[in-house]
Amino acid sequence: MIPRSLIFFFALIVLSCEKDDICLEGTPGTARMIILFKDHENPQLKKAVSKLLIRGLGQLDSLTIFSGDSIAIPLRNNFEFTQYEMTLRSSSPTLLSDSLQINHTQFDTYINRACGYKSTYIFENPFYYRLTQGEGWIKNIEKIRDTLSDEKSSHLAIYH
Amino acid sequence: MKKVHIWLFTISLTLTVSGLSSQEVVAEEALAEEVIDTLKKREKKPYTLRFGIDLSKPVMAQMDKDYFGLELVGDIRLYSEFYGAVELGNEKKTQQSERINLTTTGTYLKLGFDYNMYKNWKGMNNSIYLGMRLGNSFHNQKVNEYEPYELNHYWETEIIKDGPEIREQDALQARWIEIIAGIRVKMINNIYMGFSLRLNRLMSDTRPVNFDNLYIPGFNKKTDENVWGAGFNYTITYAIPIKL
Repeated sequence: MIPRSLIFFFALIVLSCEKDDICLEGTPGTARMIILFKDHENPQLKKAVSKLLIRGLGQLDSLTIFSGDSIAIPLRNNFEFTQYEMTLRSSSPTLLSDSLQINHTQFDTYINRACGYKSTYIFENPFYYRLTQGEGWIKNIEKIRDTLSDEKSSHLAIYH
Repeated sequence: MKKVHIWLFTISLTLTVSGLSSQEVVAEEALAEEVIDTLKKREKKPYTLRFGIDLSKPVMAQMDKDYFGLELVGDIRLYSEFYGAVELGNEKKTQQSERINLTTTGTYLKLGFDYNMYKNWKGMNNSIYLGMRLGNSFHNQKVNEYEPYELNHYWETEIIKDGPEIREQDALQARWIEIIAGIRVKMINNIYMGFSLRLNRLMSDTRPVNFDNLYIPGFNKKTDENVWGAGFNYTITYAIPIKL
């Protein structure tokens, strides 16, 4: 009388995979910090950097070697700060290097079952420390947006 | 939606089986009825009160250390083939759901009725039934740890074990309707064993702040995509006949 086949059938349904289990591609995750490079002599204008080596302090591998006027770099989740070393490899004869510490707090927002939570960073006050002494290539740093909720526009401007 | 179709198929299959087996009995019953007719007296069936437990939950609790469950079931024959039915349960389940580890604890109550479609021989009391329940859970949910959703893995993504989102939220509720197909067989004397499949439709739920009810006691897994869920139970019940 007991439909064992039904029990088996039911188990199949329960254990089967669902669309729910996969975080769909294109779901916005934790936003990276977008840096815009600007000209310190003419603050209205963008000024591209060339061959800028970006490496997180404590990391062996560099994040990227970058040329252009704006870049997105990831911040460190569950940390109060993120440290990056930025070396301008195009400068000659000596390499100009600056190390920055970005101070941030975060709050996490639930997205859905498959993706879980995403983090949103907020700049602390002061929002950065310069870790290197003396003359570097960075002249000034300015924040544009306090909350790093998306990657639609820049959060930080670096004047050089 | 695919799951719903599979369920409809399962239920209709159960119905077909029950339809067939009742037909076999009809012929036999026709003979039996002739005898009863001469007496011009309809047999008065007793109000039967049955109560017991769902065996599947303690078994699952034995196999899975992150699960505890207990369900008390009861039903009473109201009139003809209608039974009033109740299920009262308690569950505690810890699970890893993709990036979130959570624990759900709570109690649920289901109230409704069963309609028996199986024509019994005299003295038999088996049933193949369809039923409906209204379910309500009272639960709380705790996020134990989670891994934030990062697209970039330059910095190692740490699993967050404390912080504002690592918390327990209580006074959560969910309400749903169940459609049931099941069988119940008399084993010995007053002991019955039963099995039922349940299709659940979530009506409403109070969600935790900045989170969701990923599991609802009594309802089972809640999905993002639709309001349907599924469940089953495997009961052993003891019947007390009440003659009025």
